[in-house]
Amino acid sequence: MEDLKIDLKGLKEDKKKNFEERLKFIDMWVEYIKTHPNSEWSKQQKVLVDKK
Amino acid sequence: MEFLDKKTIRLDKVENQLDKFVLDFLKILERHTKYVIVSGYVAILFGRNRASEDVDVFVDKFDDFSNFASDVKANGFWFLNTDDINELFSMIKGGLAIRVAKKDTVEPNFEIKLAKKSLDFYSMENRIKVLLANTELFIAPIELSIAFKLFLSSEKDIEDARFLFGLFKDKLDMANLNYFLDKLEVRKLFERHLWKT
Repeated sequence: MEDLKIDLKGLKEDKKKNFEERLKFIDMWVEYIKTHPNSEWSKQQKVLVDKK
Repeated sequence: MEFLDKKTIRLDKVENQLDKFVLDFLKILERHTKYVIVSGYVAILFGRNRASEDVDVFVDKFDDFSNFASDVKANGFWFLNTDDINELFSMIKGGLAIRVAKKDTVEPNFEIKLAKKSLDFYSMENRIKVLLANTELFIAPIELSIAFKLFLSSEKDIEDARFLFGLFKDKLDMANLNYFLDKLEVRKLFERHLWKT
């Protein structure tokens, strides 16, 4: 196999960016939970958790 | 959700399969010992959108471990570690976790440990009661849960901490949270990922 040139620095930056995006999404979800009835967010959570 | 007092939260949610698994097993566990749920499931209970393979729980001493083990088996659960009750008892007494799942399954499972360290006892003594539609359960204090998640510090743990802090920040005892941030030496992580957001 040909030796691959891997941009490790770039990958690490992507990883950091993904993590930051996930944290921002969590803030959005928290806001959703705070502003919607329990029945609404928990129905959506159930779909995700039950898929596992 | 609604805070009835400092140690009681009412939560009327649509229960998912993981919630049902937890509540089913707690019905058995609470017949035999005092317990407190810690770590990831605390965040999931309040809406964190992720699944989990295990539910961590600390227990006080068992009134009769053999009775507990029989009760577990008689109610559709099994021990993943071993079938031998004496061996299970030695394991948990020695500080190891024993795992319980629904019969014929492996995940999700309960990871049960005896409270041994000061933080385990703190969680137990200061546990929060969560009132659900038809039942109740006990979880570790939110302030300690946030600080401990930062101490564990994987991306998943930091996300859990961010979720709990975001959801409860107006209700937290900040002096208590600050105490644990310093004790667990996670203030920098807190400031980086939770505070300045």
